[in-house]
Amino acid sequence: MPDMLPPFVLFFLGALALPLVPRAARSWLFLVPPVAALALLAGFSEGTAVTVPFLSWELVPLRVDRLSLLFGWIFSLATLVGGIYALHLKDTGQQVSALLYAGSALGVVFAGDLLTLFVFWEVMAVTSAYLVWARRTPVSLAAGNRYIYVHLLGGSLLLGGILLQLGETGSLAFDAFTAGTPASWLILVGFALNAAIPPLHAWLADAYPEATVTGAIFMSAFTTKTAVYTLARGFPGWDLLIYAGVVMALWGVVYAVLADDIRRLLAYHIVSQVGYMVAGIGIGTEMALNGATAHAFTHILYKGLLFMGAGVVIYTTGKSRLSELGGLWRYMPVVVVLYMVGALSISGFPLFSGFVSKSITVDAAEYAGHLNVVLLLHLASIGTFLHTGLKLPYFTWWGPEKSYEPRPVPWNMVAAMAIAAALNTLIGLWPTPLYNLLPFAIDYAPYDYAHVKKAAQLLAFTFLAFWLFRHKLGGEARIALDTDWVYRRPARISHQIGPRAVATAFGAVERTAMGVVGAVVRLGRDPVGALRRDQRGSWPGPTASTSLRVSLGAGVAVVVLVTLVVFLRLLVF
Amino acid sequence: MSRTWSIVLGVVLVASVAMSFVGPSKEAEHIWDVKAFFAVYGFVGCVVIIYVSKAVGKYWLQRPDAYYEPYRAPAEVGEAGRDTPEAKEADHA
Repeated sequence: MPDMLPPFVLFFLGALALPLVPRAARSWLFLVPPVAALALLAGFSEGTAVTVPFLSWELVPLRVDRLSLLFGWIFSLATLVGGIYALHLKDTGQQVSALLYAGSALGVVFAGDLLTLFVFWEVMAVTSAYLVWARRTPVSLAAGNRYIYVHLLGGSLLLGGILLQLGETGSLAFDAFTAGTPASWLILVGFALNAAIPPLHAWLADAYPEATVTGAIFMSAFTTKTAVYTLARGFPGWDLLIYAGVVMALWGVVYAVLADDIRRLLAYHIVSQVGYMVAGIGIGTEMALNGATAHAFTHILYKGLLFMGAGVVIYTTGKSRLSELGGLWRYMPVVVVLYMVGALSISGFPLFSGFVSKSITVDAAEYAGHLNVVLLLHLASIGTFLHTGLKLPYFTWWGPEKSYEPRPVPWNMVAAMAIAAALNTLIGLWPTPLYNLLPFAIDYAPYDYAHVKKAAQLLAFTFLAFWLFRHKLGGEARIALDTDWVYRRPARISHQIGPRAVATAFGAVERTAMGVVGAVVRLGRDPVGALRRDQRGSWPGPTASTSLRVSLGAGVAVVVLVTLVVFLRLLVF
Repeated sequence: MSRTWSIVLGVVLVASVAMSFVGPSKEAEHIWDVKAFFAVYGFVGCVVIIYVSKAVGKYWLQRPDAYYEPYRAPAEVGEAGRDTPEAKEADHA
């Protein structure tokens, strides 16, 4: 029954098989699970749900509806394109963890219950952290550590919320939360951390720029967008999210002005773009949810494309900072053109994908009466074009040329960029296939006179301002403090109360548990001797006969264990 | 910018504003229904973003590159620069 198979299975099997095939075939094998998943999704029908009994609950590893299908399609597509971009890669660890990461992202979106969701949520955290560590530099090691600590903290909050929810309602089902209970707030914070809602967003701009060239492509696609999915499923219409989304959209813009590292600039614009989606979810009308999910779909395509362009620069030159780059365009003209397709898409340029999805979201805000939100989202849109569309390409590919000898660009990187650019253009020109995937029926014409006029004026005059003030925008070899300052500045203390404290507590529990086991074993082996324990606290040698010792010991051990179990049972419940 | 490109930019700017004065327009309901609103908003917004962000950075947020160097967690000790040979090798792998 292929229409009942959860898609993550394909990816996990692929990850298992990958190390077993010859090295040269591994990056090609990487493409099999996403292709198989696309075929699988084509056979899915809405309403399918697979339930598996587990203890006294029902787990739902597969729930197919319009919302989960949309994310299923785009995640599989993103894995395929990312896999093509990484065809030259010879690093099995990265390939395996990228497959597990993609698989668990699909696991999250098709999970119908909170426990299944949580398990995949944690697998995502670990496997994506590996994509940071895999760069194998001291900087990326430390950034990966911070990344996983923060995500494990978020995961713990999520688990706490899930357990509270289970205690309150007795159900693990994952549906929209309507009441502001402590459980739903904890779950919301857990989701918000992965969605990079300030002040819980700093992990993103901290870790993504330090990830491997190919790993960052997957990271830009999955973590924040699974969180968008969970917010859209669990918290549509929560007013708080409207304001959170607007703050995100502008926060990313301000920090992108200050960013010097090209992938940090792009990372801050993930925060900004996810702000549109979060705001749309907060508005919560059918049109706004359509806009938010459509924007998630197009965002994965254009942000992946932008990260691929930045990745080519880093791959070929070994440099990633605007203050060290410039004048590269004649080494990679095709890459520049393809990057610009992504840049125009994210900027909402007519003919490209972002124009469609952003228009739906912003119009939904207008129809719902949130007029200030409309103006602020337009402001964020100006910032997006300014940085991603103008500042980054200008100072990377134009501007004064620095001295370097770039390596040739692998063909597969360009091919992946071309596919992503084609998809962005296709959706921009012909949004119907995207419309058909959206959670609610939509009848929306992005290309009317008012929309095109608005985009033309905004973009043209943003360009004019950029050109007049471009001397202010060059990269500065400095960093801008963000909310990660809270745990990075007092690193020694936060390390003590964070990872160290957990390790200490874990160690104490482990020692206690092993101590109890050891005591029971000793008691069982020689109860008479144990009871005659001498004053120094040591255990005297065997005194009773062997047969007596063994039978008596077994009896005592059983009694002690049963007592322990009964005691714990009474204590806990 | 070459002369040709300056002319192209000028034409685009004028044409985009002209779209507010020719073609269909609806009655002003919101502030953005004012003619050429988005031209002004685009320009002013962009300048505001640049200056506000730069000021926030300069007077509050920006620090030297090595700011966090003295504040490492024990696990991070040994952290060196980003352009190490390993980094380049990993990028090229």
